[in-house]
Amino acid sequence: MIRSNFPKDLKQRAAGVTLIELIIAITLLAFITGALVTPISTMMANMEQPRKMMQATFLVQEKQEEILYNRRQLTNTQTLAANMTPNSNQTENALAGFTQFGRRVTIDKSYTPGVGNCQSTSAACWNYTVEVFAMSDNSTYSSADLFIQK
Amino acid sequence: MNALLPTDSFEGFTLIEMVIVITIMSLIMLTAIPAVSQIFMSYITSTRMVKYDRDGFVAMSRISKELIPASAFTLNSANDISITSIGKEIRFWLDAGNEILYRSEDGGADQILSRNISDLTFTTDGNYITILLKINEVGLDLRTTVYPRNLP
Repeated sequence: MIRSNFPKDLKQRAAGVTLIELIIAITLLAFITGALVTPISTMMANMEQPRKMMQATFLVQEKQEEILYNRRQLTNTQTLAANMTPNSNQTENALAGFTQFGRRVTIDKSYTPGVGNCQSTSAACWNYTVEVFAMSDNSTYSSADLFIQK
Repeated sequence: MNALLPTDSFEGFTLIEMVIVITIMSLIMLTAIPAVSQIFMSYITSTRMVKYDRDGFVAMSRISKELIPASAFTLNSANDISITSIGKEIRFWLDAGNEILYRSEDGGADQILSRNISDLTFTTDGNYITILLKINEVGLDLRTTVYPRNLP
């Protein structure tokens, strides 16, 4: 019964595959495997990104702590413009111990007393943006704003 | 059932055909094995990296968070610090031999804060404390500096 139900072409297929068919199949398999290797390797290499962002975040925190400390050192009579450090934009390249990173401080001094976040009605308010960037391509890994007033 | 058996038309492969196929497959395997092996190694490494990085992040965040409001601190050694923070006596210290970071509070028992920490170094000038944490197993270095807010 089984034999009688088999289509004729399937019986002919039982002759197996030819050498050329086998070589084509193997070659296709090799190409597919090869094509998968590159994207998977790239994906694995990208696993470094979260680590760099984490390292950068702690380095941003480090700079913010320094700025806040300098702010706390100011006396009542001192001003941001005359006594704050840093009081101009600053860039550090290849940080000690983390040479793959640079760190940039950008100060926005355009806040008007009494307007928006600048609650002080007489003294200046500055916004410090601290960024940690890759030395290789200048891309930012971590960045944070720090608003201070005097 | 005879349909499942070879028919008269099945002649099989010749020796030369088999040799060619085996040679081609060998060449492909020689090329593919290092690549596939590299993928597996990358996977294993990245899995470990994620776990260890998380350990490092948790430890570093905890230490810096508790150092910020500190009102006093004492460096017992380069990898052992005691602080007074929000009314609590807190100590962080590294058992470098076993790569375990401990934390204790108010003289209580040491509790494991994180494992796999190869090095933890505190440096200070009296105003700031720089924390350097390393996990050599996955080549992780973390550094931050804290200026405790409530020092006299």
